[in-house]
Amino acid sequence: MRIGIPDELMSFPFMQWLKDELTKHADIHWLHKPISTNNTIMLSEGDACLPFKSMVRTGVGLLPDIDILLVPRLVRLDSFLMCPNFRALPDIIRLNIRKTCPDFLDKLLDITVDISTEEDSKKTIQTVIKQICHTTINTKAIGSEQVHQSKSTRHGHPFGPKTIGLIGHPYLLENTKLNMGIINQLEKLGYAVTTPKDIPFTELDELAKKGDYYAKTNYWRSSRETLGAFHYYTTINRVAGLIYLISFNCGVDALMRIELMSLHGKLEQAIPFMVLVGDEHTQQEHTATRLEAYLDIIDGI
Amino acid sequence: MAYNVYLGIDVGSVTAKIVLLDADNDTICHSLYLRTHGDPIEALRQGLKEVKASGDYTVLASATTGSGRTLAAKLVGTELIKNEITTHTLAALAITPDIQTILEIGGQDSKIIIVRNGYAIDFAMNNVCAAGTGSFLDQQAGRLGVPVEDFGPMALQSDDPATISGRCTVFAETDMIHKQQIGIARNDIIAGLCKSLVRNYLATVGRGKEILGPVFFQGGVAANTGIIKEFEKQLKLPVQVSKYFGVAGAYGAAIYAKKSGPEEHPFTGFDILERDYKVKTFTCRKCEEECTVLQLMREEKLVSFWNDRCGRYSNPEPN
Repeated sequence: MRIGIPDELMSFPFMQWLKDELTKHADIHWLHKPISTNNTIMLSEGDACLPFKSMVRTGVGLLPDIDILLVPRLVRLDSFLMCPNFRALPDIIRLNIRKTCPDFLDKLLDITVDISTEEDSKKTIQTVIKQICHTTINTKAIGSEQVHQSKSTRHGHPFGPKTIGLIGHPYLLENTKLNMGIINQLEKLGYAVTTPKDIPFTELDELAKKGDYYAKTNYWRSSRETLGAFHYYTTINRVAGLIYLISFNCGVDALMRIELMSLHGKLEQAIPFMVLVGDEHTQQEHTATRLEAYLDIIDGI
Repeated sequence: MAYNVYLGIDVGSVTAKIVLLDADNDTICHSLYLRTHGDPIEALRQGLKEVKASGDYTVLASATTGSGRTLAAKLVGTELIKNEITTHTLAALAITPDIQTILEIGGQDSKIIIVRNGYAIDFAMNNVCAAGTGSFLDQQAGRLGVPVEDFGPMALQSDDPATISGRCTVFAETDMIHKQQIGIARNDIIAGLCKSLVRNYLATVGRGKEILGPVFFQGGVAANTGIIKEFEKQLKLPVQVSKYFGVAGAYGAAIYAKKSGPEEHPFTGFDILERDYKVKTFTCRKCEEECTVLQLMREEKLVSFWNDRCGRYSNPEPN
């Protein structure tokens, strides 16, 4: 059986967990990126951010080479809400399949992911296994979530003097096309890069609780991650510099951008902090200029 | 008598600037400010021709900056390439070591640099939108039939600047046309434009930055006295204009060249005066990045590649 999940979604630990559990029950060949890079099909993604458009394109592009396209309707992860675009993702993909390749409509399998506890996660996995493998399993047979979480940072080593922390949505941090290759660019310029992927979400959330700038708790999952990571990299295990990468000034990022700048202004020992907005740069040179200038500040040139 | 100099080149979106820095006393012995008219190679050729004719110079090292810095570096054969934030900081600090804020508005870029204790600690640049930069002022000057150099003095004659939208150049132009059609004086329209550009700059580029004096103003737009006055009014701080405001990036590049020390290879930049250089492009389709790869051709022979993100052409793996 060949199953596709858009690569951008694999940056969420739950998706990797789901994939591993499915693999235990069936012989699955997984595909996350389209084999053909022919992206000339004009899609109707609506007015959305680049990552969302990319997820739609990846999903549709996978169809010729798979039997099932598994697209989660991500409502809530780790008890925090996801961006509303994720709830519409299966619908927008379906709309585009109908428009471009209606013969593949039956391949799309959307599942609702609304998870607050580990038990919720297991029930969701149980449902997907039943739908795909036609097997009913006990949730106790499903492996622990811990395996798919990053190791605790409580005993982590200090970062080297030339380490940059990169924070933002996980799919932006992991996908080189969406992050304009800035990890490669930083590495070429002699810096190591660390991201919150190495920190368990529960720890990030704990850190976020200690330092929420607004009176109201920020209830979006990505803002918990970003805020927690900001505190981690600026106060607990300090990096040489911190970059907040956002795709464009939308919803939660528009809020977080101001929150983090305000928090940065209050730091007793500030580290260089830069917000890099992908949609504001049409060429790689634009990001390169900002990165080089930013590193010059860190290097004290 | 031959002078030992460091050469700084700043190739921007609208102009190219060249500065020769005397290696012995750090003074500028020659500077040029040229419009590129969309052809930076030709502008650079003209500039270097003028430099060569102006004196007997031995270039110890050269460095390039600006949005065309990589192209310029390929043409003059240097490996010293520096972003414009750093070169503008170096230029400002060389003139006034205690500056705390640098405002810079060029042809299509604008930036703010926050400096503390002689080091840049933060900066911001405008985004892909060029609202409020020099090219828009140029365009409006052309439309109004006024030399752009006269914008400043005309703005200063206004007692009642018109309200002009500065957020977007399209809206600004619409507003300006509307104001002229209802009979508002040109001085008031130009003063209103200066006011709105400064407001827009401070609200977007300067957003969230702690602007402390001494404030330094650089870039081509620093020639506009109307903008300077508006900055002073809105910031409630005196604004100093760099004596080298038009060539500040090139000046900073020359300082950077000097800091880096003499180059191992002799300067070959004047070679472009003797030979034909062209840039050719092709789109690489080896991956989905589809980079526009640039090739520098010297008399139809390939000299080098750049702009390929993976380095497949510019830095190929050894066989």
